[in-house]
Amino acid sequence: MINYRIYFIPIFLLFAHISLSAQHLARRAFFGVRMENITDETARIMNLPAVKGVLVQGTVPGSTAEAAGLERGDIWLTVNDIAINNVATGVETLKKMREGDKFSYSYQRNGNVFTKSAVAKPFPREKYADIDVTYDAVKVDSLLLRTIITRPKKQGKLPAIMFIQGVGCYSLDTPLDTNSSELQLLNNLTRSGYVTFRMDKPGMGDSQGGPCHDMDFQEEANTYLQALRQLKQLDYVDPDRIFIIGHSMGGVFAPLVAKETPVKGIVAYGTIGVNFMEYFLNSRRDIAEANEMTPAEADDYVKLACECYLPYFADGEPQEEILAKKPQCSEHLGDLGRGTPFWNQLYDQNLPGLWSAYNGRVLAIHGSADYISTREEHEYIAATVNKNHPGNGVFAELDGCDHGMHIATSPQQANREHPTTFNPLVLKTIQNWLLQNKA
Amino acid sequence: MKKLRFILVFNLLSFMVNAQSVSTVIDGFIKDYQAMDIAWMGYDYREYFQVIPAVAVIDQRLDFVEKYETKLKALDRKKWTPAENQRAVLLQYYLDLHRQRFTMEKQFKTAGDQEIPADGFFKMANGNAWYRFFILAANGIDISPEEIFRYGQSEVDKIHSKMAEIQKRLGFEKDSAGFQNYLRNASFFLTNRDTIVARYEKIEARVRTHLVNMFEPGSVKVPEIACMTWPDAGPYTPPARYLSAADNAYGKAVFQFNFYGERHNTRAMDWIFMHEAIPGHHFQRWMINSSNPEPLTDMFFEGGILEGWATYVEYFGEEMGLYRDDLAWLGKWEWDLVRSARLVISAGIHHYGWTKAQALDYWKKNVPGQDDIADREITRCTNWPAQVLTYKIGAKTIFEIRDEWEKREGRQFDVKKFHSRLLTRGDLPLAVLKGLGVQ
Repeated sequence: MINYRIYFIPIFLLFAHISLSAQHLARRAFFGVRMENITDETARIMNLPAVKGVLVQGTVPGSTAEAAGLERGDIWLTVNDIAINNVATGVETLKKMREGDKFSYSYQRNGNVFTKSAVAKPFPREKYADIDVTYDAVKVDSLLLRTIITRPKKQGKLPAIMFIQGVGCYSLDTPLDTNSSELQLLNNLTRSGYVTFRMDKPGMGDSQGGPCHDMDFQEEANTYLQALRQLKQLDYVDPDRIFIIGHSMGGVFAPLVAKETPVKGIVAYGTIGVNFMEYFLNSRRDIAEANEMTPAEADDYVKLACECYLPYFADGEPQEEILAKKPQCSEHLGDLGRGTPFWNQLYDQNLPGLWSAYNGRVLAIHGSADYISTREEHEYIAATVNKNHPGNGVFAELDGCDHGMHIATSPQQANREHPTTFNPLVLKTIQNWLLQNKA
Repeated sequence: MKKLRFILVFNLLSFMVNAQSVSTVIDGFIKDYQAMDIAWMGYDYREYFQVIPAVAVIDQRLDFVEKYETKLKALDRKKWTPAENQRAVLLQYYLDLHRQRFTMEKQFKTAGDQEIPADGFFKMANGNAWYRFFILAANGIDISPEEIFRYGQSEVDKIHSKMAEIQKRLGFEKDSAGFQNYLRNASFFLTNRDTIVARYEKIEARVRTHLVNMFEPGSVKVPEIACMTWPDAGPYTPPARYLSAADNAYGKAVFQFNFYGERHNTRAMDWIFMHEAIPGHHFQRWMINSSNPEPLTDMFFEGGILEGWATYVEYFGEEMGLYRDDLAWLGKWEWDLVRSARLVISAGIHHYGWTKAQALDYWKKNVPGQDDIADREITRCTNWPAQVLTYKIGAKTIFEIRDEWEKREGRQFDVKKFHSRLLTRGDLPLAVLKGLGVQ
């Protein structure tokens, strides 16, 4: 039975207006330290008196950690009197620091403990000779969220692309890793004439607020809507030639956002095209196969996954109650990266309805090594668009691409090795489609 | 007398000027090479083709090669000492290698946009030449794909017969299924981490007392190596790895074993220790570092000698006080079989155009009991066409160098001196080592 929820009503209007002027958002600190947990084994081979602190594997040149004098082999003990006894605590503590913050820290070297203080350096920025990069912010409710705009060195009103990322809580502000798929795609689109625009979720990168994990689906949709409105008003952007690239869950948000603020076209890569539970069922079998399960094992896996997740997604039944009834669900349930409200609201979306109402151009892309999303749902998105707006929808299956737009030979290889090299076929496919649509 | 003194002084001066010239050319080469930021070719051929720079940059690199070829040719070779001659041979090898690389890169770039097939070199334009070049660059020696294929097949046949003898001795003649079942017995797997560490410590103690059987007396001074689990090892993590003191934060060399699933195969422990620790990688690194290594070798990664040495020493388990029963030998042959099959599969895929199904079929027919890693290994042979060859090609070439040395020296041949001289040369390309004859 379908559960209709009252929060399906768009709540975009409930949120505060955006500020169109440039916002000052302090840069996060660039601590630049590679850490490793100290275990009893580490303590044994390093002759440490206790399993305490984290092991410094190295520091990044130009970072705060380097300036603070930390070196490979040091045992880093505290920051601002907070004990750092594992990498997760270290990352969480450092994430809160902003450029210019003064802090104290202690570390152990050759058996001696040192306590010192230092000032945090700002995180580096992307910088290229051939394109301009602007670090701005969008105000959503009371929060400033980091936006990064890449712009060709050209005059006049330019076509623009807004990138909406996947469901996870990760930053798109990665100046130290410009080989990521997202940056390779966006920076190369800028080199071919497009302004690109991306935003970090609350609590990620420089963005205020968070934790991102707890943001629900509608709240997240609203951040993209506000960001899109800001993009439309940039004086160097042609508001009639704006496209959205929605990656993974970003492909779900894209038609939802476009419903409120129209865009010329949408590229949906590795996304969901049907009811969430139907997608879930389809993709579980692909995930089982990517994990090299036998057909029988895969069937058991899919069956149990559905039995465990249906009450959670559809009815919002707490995981504890599901586990009490079905203890074998323990191998499936757990932290899904986002909280229950997010999944419940996603479950209520009518995605085919959104796609059939959308009157712009659509390119639905699936990679042959992507086992997180299914080819059929991308074909279905294109077909759904074409039903109401013939000729607007295009489907593309890209050989040798995984869910993260990387080069991968098969779903099994992608699952096993987590490839990291961006597949330029994604870029070429999108570039060609944009040209065909006179962007 | 005065004249004689003049001649002596002149000769001495001439030698010094000449000596300075060889080293000046090499120093200049190193400095200019570093400034040009030339990326290492890496293992994955698809990633390599992504980072080939523009033709203008390749032209600069070709000019650089030409500049140093001219400088090297201009030196007066007649007055070189043997050490200078060896340095010049090494520089010439790297100049030749880079000329070939940049010439092929230029051809690739000028040919226009090319798809890089995900399933190997076979279908790629000029793929055969690229495969052969990858073999040379990764192994440090030029070997034809046909020879690699033939050698791989002969090694697989040889190992099958060794394993069949053991199977027979253990009472499983004509019962391969029963034998494989027996090898999966829980008694072959240690499940307590501390027990494994203690057992490796015992192996180390035995090896240290037997080192003088194959190495000169000073070999017993090889520094200690710590043993620990491989943090975050997964189902596809290799059996073990070596991290030199320079490559970790523990302050000492470390040998990490795979304890994924809290089990470790006892049959593999002898060869694993010899390969990763003593007299394999740890011993090799210590010998190289103790011998004032050639600065040029710091610039390049020579997988052929590095992995070849660690594989070569695996054959001397009995001399090192190990391989004391059939099962330890079997463990050695089981992994040697994996490495030998990689030769056949790599040449099969990249030179003979094998499909993945053909490669899988070969694996299943020839590598019993290792179905769980079949897909991983075939993917590795596909993506890393030449790295997978380094173990066997390196060991084979070291045996060939040793045979040549033995033939030349006859009764004077001393294997211990051979090992010292081979290792103290540093990690040179195999072709250079072969040409120098380990004098």
